[in-house]
Amino acid sequence: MNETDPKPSVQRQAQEAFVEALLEHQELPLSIDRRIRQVEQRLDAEERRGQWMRRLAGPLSIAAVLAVAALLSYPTSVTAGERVRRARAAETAAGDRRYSLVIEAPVRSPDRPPLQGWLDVRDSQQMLLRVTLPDGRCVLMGRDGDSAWQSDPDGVPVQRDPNSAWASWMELRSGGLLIDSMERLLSAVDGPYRLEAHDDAGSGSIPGAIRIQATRTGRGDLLPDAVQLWIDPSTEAVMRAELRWDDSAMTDEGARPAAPPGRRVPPGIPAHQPSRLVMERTAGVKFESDRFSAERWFGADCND
Amino acid sequence: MGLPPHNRDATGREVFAILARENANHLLVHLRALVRDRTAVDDLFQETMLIAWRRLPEYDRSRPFGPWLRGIGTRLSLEWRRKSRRLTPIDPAFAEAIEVAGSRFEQAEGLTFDERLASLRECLEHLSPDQDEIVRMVYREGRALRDVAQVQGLNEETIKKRLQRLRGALADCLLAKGAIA
Repeated sequence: MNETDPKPSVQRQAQEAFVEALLEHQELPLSIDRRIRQVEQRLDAEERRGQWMRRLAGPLSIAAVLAVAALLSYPTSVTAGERVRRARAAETAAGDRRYSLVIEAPVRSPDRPPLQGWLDVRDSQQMLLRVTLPDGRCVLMGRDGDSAWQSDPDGVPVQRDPNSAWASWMELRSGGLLIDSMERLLSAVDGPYRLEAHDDAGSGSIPGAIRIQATRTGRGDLLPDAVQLWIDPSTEAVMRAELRWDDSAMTDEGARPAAPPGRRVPPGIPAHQPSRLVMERTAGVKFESDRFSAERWFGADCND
Repeated sequence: MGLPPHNRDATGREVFAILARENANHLLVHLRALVRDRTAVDDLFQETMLIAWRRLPEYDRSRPFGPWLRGIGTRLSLEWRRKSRRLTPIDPAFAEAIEVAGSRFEQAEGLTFDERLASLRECLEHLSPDQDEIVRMVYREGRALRDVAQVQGLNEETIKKRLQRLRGALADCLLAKGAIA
């Protein structure tokens, strides 16, 4: 080392750090075996519980994105319809947005605690859903513009398995998944709602907001039965949305009918619609450039 | 060692376990060079292996397994330090230089990691008795610098400087042998 140089080069620092790590390294073959066995034990445990956990990310995220999209697409009904169309235009140009989420258990599973999470959205191709499970673990799902990914049971991002099944109510009769594109999603939810604007802010009151009540007029296998939107009239932004599914249209199995042929929802997957999904917009967010990439979430905390 | 199958079946698990064992020592050294915290190194080792298993289908079988595995470890280490409130983030250039230094070591003669350590042992033989004593106390016995300073009748700063010079001398020796780059 050049002693006149007060700060060694990065290369030199790395060489010395590597030497020090070699000096400290006192692993015996047995301790390496122990480490590998620990890894294998975790892999075994993961495989036992992995399947349903991996797939849980799908339904939840679909529900969340469905909620966003549902805000944007309600038709006709003069005043309320116009208000929704303006909101749709505002949302399309909105850029970075964050919504807090509360996903309540299906009507037939009232004992399950609600799930809480966040949905970060930049556009239809860049989104990130984070949901904290009751046991504290975190489910992540994202689209980074090029590909879709989701977390495994330990919260580590992995590419999404294209063959994994989805709850039937997430899939469109026309084929494909709601999450595939915003256009498909909008097309799917466009139509069967009666819209009303209310001066009162209703139970989820947001000061100054206009509440839009959307009630489903037709039967479908995926749409919520009722939607409420709270729209800020000065910005046209949707500040809060509440989606409700009732129990009346469910089959004895719980899920709505028309699961696509050949698809199978594994046991334990929450195939039922949530009873209620609430989204509330957070003001003033600006995401870093790698926010939606899987790499960003290696070892990261769900609350980052 | 043969290339791991992309299928994550029972055979894949066995091959992965063999590859994991083969590369475990170097991965630990790599993580220790990046992250000084021993507990963190243990955790990062586990996470690296788990992620490697999950991402095995993405592994390019035409390339060596070790650098791919350590690449995962590097990303996790960078992330761990980035999240630490009390530690400065790791410079990615430093992380890359660690990999460069270690890649030559990986190519050193010897089937096992211990055999590859022969170069280091040879370099250690060239240390002065005082330096050898410091290596013994600090790295083999794991004693605190304060204790070492007391035994040597020196202050802690002096011991730190001697350690730094000692590591530099060993690095030079290993460089001369072509054992690191």
